[in-house]
Amino acid sequence: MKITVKYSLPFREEVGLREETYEIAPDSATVAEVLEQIIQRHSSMRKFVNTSNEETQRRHLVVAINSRLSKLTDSVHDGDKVSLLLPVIGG
Amino acid sequence: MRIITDSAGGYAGRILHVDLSERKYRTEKLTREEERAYIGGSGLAAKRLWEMTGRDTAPLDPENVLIFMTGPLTGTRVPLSGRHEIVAKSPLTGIYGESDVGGRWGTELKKAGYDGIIVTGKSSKHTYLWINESGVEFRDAEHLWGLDTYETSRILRKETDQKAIEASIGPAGERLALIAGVMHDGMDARAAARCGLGAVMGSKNLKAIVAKGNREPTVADEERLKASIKKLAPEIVKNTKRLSDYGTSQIMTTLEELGDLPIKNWKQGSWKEGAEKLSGVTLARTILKTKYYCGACIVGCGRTVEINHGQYAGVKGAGPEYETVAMIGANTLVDDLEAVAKAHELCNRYGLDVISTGAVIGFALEAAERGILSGEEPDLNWGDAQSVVSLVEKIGRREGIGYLLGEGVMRASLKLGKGSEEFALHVKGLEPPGHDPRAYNSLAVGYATGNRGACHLQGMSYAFERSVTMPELGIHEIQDRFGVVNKGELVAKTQDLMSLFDSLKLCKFLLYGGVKLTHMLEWFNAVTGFETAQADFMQAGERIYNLKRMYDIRCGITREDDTVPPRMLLERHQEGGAAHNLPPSSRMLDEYYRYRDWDPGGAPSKEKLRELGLSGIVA
Repeated sequence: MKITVKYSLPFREEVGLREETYEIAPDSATVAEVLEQIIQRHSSMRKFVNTSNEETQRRHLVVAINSRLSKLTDSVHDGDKVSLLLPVIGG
Repeated sequence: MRIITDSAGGYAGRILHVDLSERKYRTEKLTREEERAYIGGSGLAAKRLWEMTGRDTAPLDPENVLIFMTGPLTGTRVPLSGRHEIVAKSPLTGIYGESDVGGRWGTELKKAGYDGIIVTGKSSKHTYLWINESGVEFRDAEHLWGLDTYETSRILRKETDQKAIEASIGPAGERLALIAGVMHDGMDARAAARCGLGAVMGSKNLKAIVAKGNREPTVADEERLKASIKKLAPEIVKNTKRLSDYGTSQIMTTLEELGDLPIKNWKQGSWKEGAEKLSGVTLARTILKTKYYCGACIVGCGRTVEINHGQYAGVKGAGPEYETVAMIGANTLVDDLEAVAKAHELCNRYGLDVISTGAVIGFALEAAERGILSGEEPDLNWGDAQSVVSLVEKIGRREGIGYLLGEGVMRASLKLGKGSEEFALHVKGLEPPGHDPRAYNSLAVGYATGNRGACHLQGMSYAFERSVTMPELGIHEIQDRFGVVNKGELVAKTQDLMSLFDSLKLCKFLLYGGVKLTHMLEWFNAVTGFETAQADFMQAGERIYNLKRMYDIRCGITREDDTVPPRMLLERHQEGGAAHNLPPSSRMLDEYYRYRDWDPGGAPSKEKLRELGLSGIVA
């Protein structure tokens, strides 16, 4: 299946893209696994990813699927728009 | 030199009482019982406000008191502890008013030998106070009256000590704008902005309080504190790196994605390009000069900016926070970061609350769009940066339509009428900050039951619905922001926890650094020498929250006032990350009251007051 990954600032600067498409195997399609695939394609994103637990990950980067805040264990589906966003800290 | 006090540590042990009418001062000794029960900061100040004012106290009369209170951790090496609280009966809301602020003023006051200052009466002439280890001087402020806070700071430091720090008001507070705050630290501009406390200071003819000291606060168990901080400090720095890199407005694009951002007076659900133009990342790539750190801070979320070219050249000093870009930017559809930085600087100079200012301008723009304001201000349009900057000036000077808007949205709508009450968003008179309850259900309960009105910081429950846990309080996982079950319990617990932050005087961004209740208690015990148990510690937070509630009840607040603006409860966004969600406020509120052991009218039960040791105090 295909998903679209959208990069907000400053991740856009890291990967040099606004968005790109990923082919994901349906049986390995959690948010955590999508993040691992992104690291494989863009090693500079590694510093933003720590999937050891939810709270730790959200200090560095959060993921929204179709604008919905998502957990590492949430599934992604064909056609989803997966946004990588700065952590929701502060404000 | 160390502070000599009966306390084992943390506290200076005395509060300064200043009577402006009589131009006299005295000191009051703190007791260990009060320190243990009310901690300091917000808790101790709330107790004094309860004791010294009442239902009939008019907020802008000399009978109101203006309280500045540090906490036991202020001035120590505890990370992010350089804070203090300002408390008074609010002229904006007529109920309990408080504002928490960072910077360095609180640290200087503690080092001068005082935990807090309680200002009473009214000076017959414009005055400032100069406080140091030698005592208190009442000084003439005629030459400062009318000056903005940056200029005031420059002159005051020249007249006192270049390393002194001032809390001052600008022209907005002098002219009794009800959305005026108390500013600190000159061009670094740390704002105790909420609830109109700058107007209380202005009503007393008090321009500023300048503080400077050299006494280091005592710490009961230095080794224990040192060991704890050594372990935690690197974690805090690591976990808040993005906040440090991009400031509080780094969340702009994320909150837009989640549907949390106030857009077009809370009517619009999405504004992607605008959010990106105003984000902390954009700021870092354009006008950022350097970071700013409050006292004892190791994060540095503050921004210092400089604009050298273009229409807004000359802006220099504290840069816009998230609340500024949200309320003065997104809420008015202005996406020009330099214009928002200019508006931020004007708010700082005039001494205005950026939240209330942005809110009342958003209200004015909608009123103009509907033709309600056409005779007053003909050319107001959404997204018109120049008009918005001009309105901030008018509010600060109290000129033209700015006079009315400086009264806040509740009064402005009552004056304008013609249905404008429908889009005048406030709770108990206080305008909501830049977070939307349609994006976090718990926030509806938090706004409805906030002791100072619509406030995200008195509960901060939304942090637990997006990135934080607190196992000590049974919050083991990040909560579902659109869930309904047990939201009342979540809000009550986090309100009690935030009461501790506000009383110890800790920055709440420690939560994002990974600091938990256990760490806060360890610091409190190590600094003060108490061996407070966790249950007693949390009960102190609950006591403080209930005391403030009793103050509001004394001012006439009932359950009918515990609500959220209709737009946030009844109007669904059609787009964005919170599209179609409406918080089921009434159901969650019922559960909140039950968890709190408050009666159906919203008052704490007699049993609850007895349990908290409040029955003798509030009877």
